[in-house]
Order: sequence, then C-alpha cells, then structure tokens
Amino acid sequence: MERVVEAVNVSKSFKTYERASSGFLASLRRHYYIKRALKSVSFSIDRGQIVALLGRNGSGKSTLIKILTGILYPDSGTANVLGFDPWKERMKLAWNIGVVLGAHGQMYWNLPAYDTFEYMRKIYKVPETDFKKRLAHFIEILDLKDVYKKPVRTMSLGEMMKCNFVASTLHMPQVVFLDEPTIGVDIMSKAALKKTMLEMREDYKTTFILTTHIVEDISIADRVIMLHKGRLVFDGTKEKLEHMFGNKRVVEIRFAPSAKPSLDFGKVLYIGTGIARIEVNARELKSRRFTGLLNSKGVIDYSVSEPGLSELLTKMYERLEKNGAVR
Amino acid sequence: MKNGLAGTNIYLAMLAIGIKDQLAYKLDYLLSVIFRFINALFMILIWTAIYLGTGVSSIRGFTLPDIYVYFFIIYALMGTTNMELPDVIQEDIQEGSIAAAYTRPLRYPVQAFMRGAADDLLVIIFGTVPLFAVAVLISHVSLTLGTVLLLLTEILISYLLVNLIGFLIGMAAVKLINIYGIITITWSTLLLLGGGVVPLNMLPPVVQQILFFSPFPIMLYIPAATFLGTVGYGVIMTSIFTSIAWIAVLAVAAYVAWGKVRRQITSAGG
Repeated sequence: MERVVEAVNVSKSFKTYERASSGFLASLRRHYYIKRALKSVSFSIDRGQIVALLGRNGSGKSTLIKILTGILYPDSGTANVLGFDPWKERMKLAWNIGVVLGAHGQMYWNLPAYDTFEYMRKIYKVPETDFKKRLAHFIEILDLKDVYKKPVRTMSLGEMMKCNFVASTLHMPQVVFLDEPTIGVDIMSKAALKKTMLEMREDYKTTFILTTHIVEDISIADRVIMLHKGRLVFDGTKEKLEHMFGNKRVVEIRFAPSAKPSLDFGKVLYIGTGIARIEVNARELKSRRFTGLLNSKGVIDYSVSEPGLSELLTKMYERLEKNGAVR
Repeated sequence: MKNGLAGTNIYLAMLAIGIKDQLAYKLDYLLSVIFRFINALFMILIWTAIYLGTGVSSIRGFTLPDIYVYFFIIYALMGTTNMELPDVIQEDIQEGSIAAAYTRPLRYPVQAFMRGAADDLLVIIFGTVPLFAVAVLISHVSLTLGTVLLLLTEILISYLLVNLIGFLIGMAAVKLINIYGIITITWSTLLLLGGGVVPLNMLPPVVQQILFFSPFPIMLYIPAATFLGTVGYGVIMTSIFTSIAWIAVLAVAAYVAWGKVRRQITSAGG
C-alpha cells in the first residue's frame, strides 16, 4: 500500500494564559504557561484509508490536522503528506489536499454557495466540464438543490457544512482532512456525507482523515486513532477498540420488590426498587452462580447487552483520566 | 506567458468575488458617500470661519475657493488611502478563518490584499469618484494629461504605501488580536501628517522639512496640491522619490515581519 501521510514524533506546544485571580483587575493579571498540545505523536496512513482521529475537546486533534495541512509547524518531529513537508511546501501540498475546518468560514458569507464553488474552480483550475459534472453529482447526492443558490448567511449549520465539503473537494484532492465535519448536520445529511466519502474512496482512492468526538462518525472509518491530552493512546480498527472492552456485558435484572438477590458477582452499575444493572465478565454468564441467580425466586426478567461504542469510549476516557493509559 | 495569464485570472477571480461579497452592503457604501461629503463640508466650514475671521484672502497661496477644492480632493483621496487591509487580517485572526485561507494554494498576504482591494475599489467608486467630480466642477483648474498622469502616479504610490503600512499593522493582530486602537491612531496620524486637516505648506518650515522625509505627504497633500497647481514640480518629484524609498523600506519590513509572524499563527481550535 502507498503511504500518503506520515507523522514521526510530532510535538507541538502553545504559550497560553489563564487569569491569575478573580475580581475587577483579574484580566490585567495573567498567568502564562506552556500547553503541550501534541506529545511525540507517530503514525502513518495509506492511500484510500478512512481514518477517524478521535479524542475529547483539547486532545490535540485539530492541532494535528493543522500541522498535517501546513497551517501550523511542529516544534519537533516530522510530518509528511503526499511526499511534501506540509509547513515548508504548503503551497504545493495545497493543490493536492482538501480541508474542511469545522464551521470556520470557508464560504463567502453574503453570496450563494455557488459563487464560492465557482471561485474554487478558478483557484484550482478545474476544467469547466469536470466542474459541472462533479458539482451536479454533489448537489444530487448531498441534497443541495434548494440550497446552493441561496446566500451562505441564510443557511443552516448543516447546509453550510455540506457546502464546505463540496467547496473543499471539487478539485478531487488526493487526501481530504475533515475537522469536525458533522457538527450541526442532521442524520440524513450525515449519511449523505458518508456515502459521498465512500464513493470518492471507491472512484478516486481518496484518503480521508476526519477528527471527531462524535462516536457515530467513526462508523465509516477503517481505522481509529485516538488522542488524549496530546498523546496517541490508541491506533487500530473499530473492531480492535470494541474487542478491548468486548469481554464485558451489562445485565439488567428485574425482580420482585420484596426479593433481595445477591449481586456480588459483578460491578453494580445501578440498583433501584425492583431493578438492577450489573456489569459482568462475559464468561460469568455461564457460571453456576449467575444462572442460579436468574432461576431464583423473585427474579421476574432479565436482559443481557453488549456495551455500545459510546459506552466503550466513555469507559476508555475514564480509564485514561485515571491511569493515563487505555489498558 | 500562459501561466502568467492564469495567475492574473486567479487574482481577478479573488478581486471579483470580494467585490461581489462586499456589494451585499450597497446601502453602507451609499451612506459612506454622504459621510465623506459631510466630513468635507465640516472642514470647509472651519476654514471658511478662519478666512472670514482673519479677513485674509490668501494663506500661503491658498485662497478660500482653493481650500474648498483642496478638501473635496482630500476626502476623495481618503478613498485611495482607505487602509482596509489591517481590518481584513484582524478579522481573519479573530474568527480563525486565516486557517481556511492557509489551506488554499495561494499566499495569505495576497489573499488578504485582494480582499482589502475589493473593498478599496468600491470605496473609490462610491467615494473618490463623486468627490473628485465635485472638485473638478467647482475648480477652475484645467487638467492636462501630464497632471493626470502625475496624479495617478502619486495615487498609486500612496496606495502601495498605505497597504504596506496596513500589512505591518495587521501583523500586530497575531499578537494583540484586537488592533482597532492601532488602526485608529495610524489613520489619525495619516490624516494629520498627510495634510488632511491643514495643508502642509501652512505648517512651520521646520515641520514641513521633516514631514517631507516621511511617507505621509504623498498620501493626501501632494496629490491635492498637484491638482491645484500650488506645488512646484521639484517638490513633487522629491516627494515621489522619497516615497518610493519608503516603499522599498516598508516592503522589506513587511517581508521580514511576515517571516517571523507566520510561525506564530495559532488560530482557534485544538
């Protein structure tokens, strides 16, 4: 596989400040400190991969995207995208990449989105016939027929994001960076965006790198890279992520209010009148103690569920906060 | 040659979309014409009071009708010294849209300049042209081709100077984020030292001599005096060459500043 993105020990710090105290003159007293946004992050991405950069707010996702697109320079380490050093060869790289930076103004606010699309055509020197063909396709697939001719300032956030996506990909870039691309986007539009990305990958071998803290967004990804406080803490498939926590099951037991079942075989997540939720190891489900409990008097009903991705990530974040490591 | 033309097309595209975007505020531009006329009238009223109060018919070669023309020309020229560039840079940094500009295969200073130029062009159309037309109508000056070419040269030089100064001020936004105060002070300095309040030849000779080594006279006073014919050819040429030297100095300063500031851009997000 051809490697298109590579980061080796990339670190980045910012000088920032916080108020030294509260009160009337607080804004005059600042406490400056160095925030380490990225700490020696290394990974590589092959052509045609769809990679989700996952992490909580302030984890370093956007900083990493900005380094890979040449907006910021790394303090140490090296970045390489499509054979270019993003900081030193930003202009050359820019011809070959597309970047959607959240809700940040990439569109001309007072004009219909079409004007920005047309402007991008001229900037990236896209032949008119290709432009028309691609735009027609994007308009159809992203349901922009009633949108692209109205002023951007009158659009919803979701409509704006879809138009941002079109403006950033009309020149068919080899690598597309999407920073929080689904903010404010409805379910149908999210699905349309995903479909478009998969099509582009299929037809043009486009590589996508998207940052998100929305769990559903990673369903499209082949691979998940997770950042936490500037460190890379996970790099693998979704399945690998699920597998790490896959030995856990949540059992919900409903019992008669008078019954007092013994729940000491797992971690009690919740207990109320006539109901309890317990997290257990999967193998515990086959144990005599557990089956005994379920068959005992007073137990009315039960259900067993696997934790969803959202719960897995919550656990992962809890672990990271507590131990500083995923495992 | 083909590449050169393609490059020009990109600049024209930047200018065209900037103008289109700004034209959403047509009423604002129309009001700015009224505002500029009112400002010119303020200065005319003040100077009328000075002339009538002192009873003199001429001050340093300026009669009262000359002063009327002078201030219409000055307020027309304020369109060409509009200095939109630092506002554009400040806005980009405050809103974080500088990051988006950085993702395009274009140099950021060029993008910012073209956006500022779009606004400047509209100010010139809506502000400079009507005021200049009034100045031509009320003056008895017959403009020769040589004077027109000289005026255009002075205006072009002043436009370059204003934008280089504007760019340097804009760079300060990377550190300070809000540079409105600096923009206002610079604008007031330009107005005062450029001859926007008092024609520079009415200042004490020492002050005049010092000022003629600064980049300000070419912005307002020299073109206005060229139009009126109240300044000698030698002074005009000295001012032009001094200003070209300033362009060279400021261009180097802008280049160095951009090299240093580019590394400090830390737009929103993280």
